[in-house]
Amino acid sequence: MSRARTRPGTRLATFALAMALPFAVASAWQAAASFNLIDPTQWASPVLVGHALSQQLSDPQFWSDFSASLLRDAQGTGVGILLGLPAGLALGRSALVRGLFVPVLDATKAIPIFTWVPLLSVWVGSGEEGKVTFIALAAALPVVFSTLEGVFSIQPRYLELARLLCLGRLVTLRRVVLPGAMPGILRGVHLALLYGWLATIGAEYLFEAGGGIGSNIMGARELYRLDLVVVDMIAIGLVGVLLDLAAGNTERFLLRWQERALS
Amino acid sequence: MTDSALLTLQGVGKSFVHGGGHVQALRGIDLTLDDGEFVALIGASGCGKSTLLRLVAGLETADSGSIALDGAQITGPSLSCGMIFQDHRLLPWLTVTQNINLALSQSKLPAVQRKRLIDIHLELVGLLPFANAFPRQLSGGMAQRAAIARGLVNRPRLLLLDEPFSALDSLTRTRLQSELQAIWAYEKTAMLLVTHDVEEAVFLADRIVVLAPHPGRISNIVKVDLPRPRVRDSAGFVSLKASLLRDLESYVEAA
Amino acid sequence: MSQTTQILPRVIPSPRRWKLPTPRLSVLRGAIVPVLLLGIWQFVSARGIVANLILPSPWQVVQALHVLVTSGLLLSSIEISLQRLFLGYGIGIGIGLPLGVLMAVSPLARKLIAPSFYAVARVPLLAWVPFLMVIFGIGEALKLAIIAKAALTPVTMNTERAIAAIPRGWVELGRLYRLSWFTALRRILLPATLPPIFVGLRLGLVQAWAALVVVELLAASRGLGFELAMSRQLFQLDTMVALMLVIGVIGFILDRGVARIEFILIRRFGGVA
Repeated sequence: MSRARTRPGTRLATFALAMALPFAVASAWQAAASFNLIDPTQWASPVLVGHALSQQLSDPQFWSDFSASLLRDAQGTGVGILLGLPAGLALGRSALVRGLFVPVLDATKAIPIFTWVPLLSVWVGSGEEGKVTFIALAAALPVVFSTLEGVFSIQPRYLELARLLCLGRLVTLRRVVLPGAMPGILRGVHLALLYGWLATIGAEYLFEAGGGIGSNIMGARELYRLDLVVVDMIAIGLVGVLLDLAAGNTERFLLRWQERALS
Repeated sequence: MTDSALLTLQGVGKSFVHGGGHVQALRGIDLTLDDGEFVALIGASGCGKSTLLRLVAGLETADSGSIALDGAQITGPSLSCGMIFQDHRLLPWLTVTQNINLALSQSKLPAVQRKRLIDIHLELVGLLPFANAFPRQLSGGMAQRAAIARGLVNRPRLLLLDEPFSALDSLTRTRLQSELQAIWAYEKTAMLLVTHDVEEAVFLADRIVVLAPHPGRISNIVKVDLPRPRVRDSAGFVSLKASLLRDLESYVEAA
Repeated sequence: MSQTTQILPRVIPSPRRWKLPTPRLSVLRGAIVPVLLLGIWQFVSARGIVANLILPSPWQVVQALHVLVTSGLLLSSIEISLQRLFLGYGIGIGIGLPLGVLMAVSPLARKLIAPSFYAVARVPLLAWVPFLMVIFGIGEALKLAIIAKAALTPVTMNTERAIAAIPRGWVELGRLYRLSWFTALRRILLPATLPPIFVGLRLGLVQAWAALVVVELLAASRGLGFELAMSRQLFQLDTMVALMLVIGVIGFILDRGVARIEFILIRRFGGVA
């Protein structure tokens, strides 16, 4: 689809339209609060949210909670990817491994991930280890399945080339399988990053308290501090967006040999 | 003569399972190839010429008969045999140099010597300026040249070519045929070429093997006595090409 | 498969060869690991290598399941959970389908709504939970709101994409032949959009089910998720595992059910090229 040249006027109009709805909602909300149509202590207002935002940003406690969540996320997602990748590769390369393990994996995938929380909290504990294990599980599953698909999608003629050139198993893995499966692998890692972050927040809700933005937002809810809740929501959403962007750009960079690839 | 031959095929046969039954692709193939010789296989579709090449490469195994290279039975792919495919099969995520280097991955040469060897062959095919390009940046002809460099870099005893130029436009095709001819004259590697282009066969080969289809078998072996480099519109060239085409057409009609 | 597609089949029927029928073999192979795991599980718990409190034996799980069924608790919990699911899902697609259609059909609506919609969609559902808890309290309305939101996003996005993807040429074809609205709908629009819309519906159901489980774990007094959380409180691991299996099976059936409908639709209508 060709991109029509947008005049500055059109771009301004597009921006204005995009902002119309949120602006209307925010104004109505603020008006209702200012004129006491709703109780500001319970329902907050955009102004209060703004206050809360600047307050939180300068509060070291907020940042330590935030970084605790990010650390947990990094640990769990890291472990999940490190375990999921070789598993996915093995499944993709060997029909035997696939035949043996795919039924079990399919069954695991069918169970909603949060169903594992009570069980893991008993087996691994409801502290840090439990949370990280849960996050690792949530991150590993998409990596396994996507990597499997990635290996599958390698064109057989490249594998035949590897046979022809008598490349050893290690060289084949390094030069043919991994780069060939890379689109699938990166897609899996992308999903793992997103699901891992979701699992982190959920873990902080469901496992016992241990600091973190998830506990933070729940605490704010218990105190009916809607302004703090919204601030935390923004923070959580922002991390999600950043992870998405980072993953997307990494994919584009690592796969730049793909542009206009001769099939 | 047979004792000193580089490649010997005796009674080679191969069938495939297809649909409900099996199809015999090749039957009773007897063929020899001497060191440094250029042999072309021509035939209509369905005569199993690609199958034959894949058997020699070790990518498939014959059902009957034997194939020996330098006296040793062929049981699988080996580095004494290089192969060029119709699609260049350069790995899209590696540069030209890295692709060629792939053929040297089993060699014990130090990196410096490998680089020299790769550069020499890039020079040979005229791709030295493109050493670090990705395949997507190359034209079809250039990519195929890179594939040829990869096929030759580890000095194989025999180079197999499976319709290497049929995916290219005719101008590039004729140019690459001349280049291949020059490379062969320089490297003196034995070559076995499969092609459906009779002119290509007459231009390049010392001997032309004509295969008939259903099942694939050798119907004729013609020695090409024309001096090199061959002139495409010389009388000898044109008449040989015409007679070969007549042979092929008769099989198509009979089929 | 074989490179030699040049072979024109002059087929010689092959002699009968005895071969193990492949489907049976793969089912056998697929069962090895689960059976093995089951055996190890039984062994480990029977020998008391791991305390039965932590790892109940398979038999204990079956017995717990039996208790759940006979006490009627299982059925009532499933009923409650599914009721919530379908109600919330219904609300979600009730809003999502029209919204998707609107955004696809009207450029003005798209410019107005899409940016906000996508911004809201970017905030993960879990982050919405506390917010919705403040607004709706922790009653039924909360659960329905969360389930509806979970279904809303994929349904809206897929519907919009499906309609926007109708090839221009087909619409013009309808206009060219002066088809009535009804005929155009039946012959062009529905076949073109139904399969991809169903992909969205299926995704929406899966997400709705997952959301249901989470919200019942967090803030419910009845339903499968609640019973699961309860079994954790009471340290009844046999019941817990039994419930996990039930939840998994229901999710599986739901997914397969919609997949079946999707399959039938694709076969009937084909896909958009």
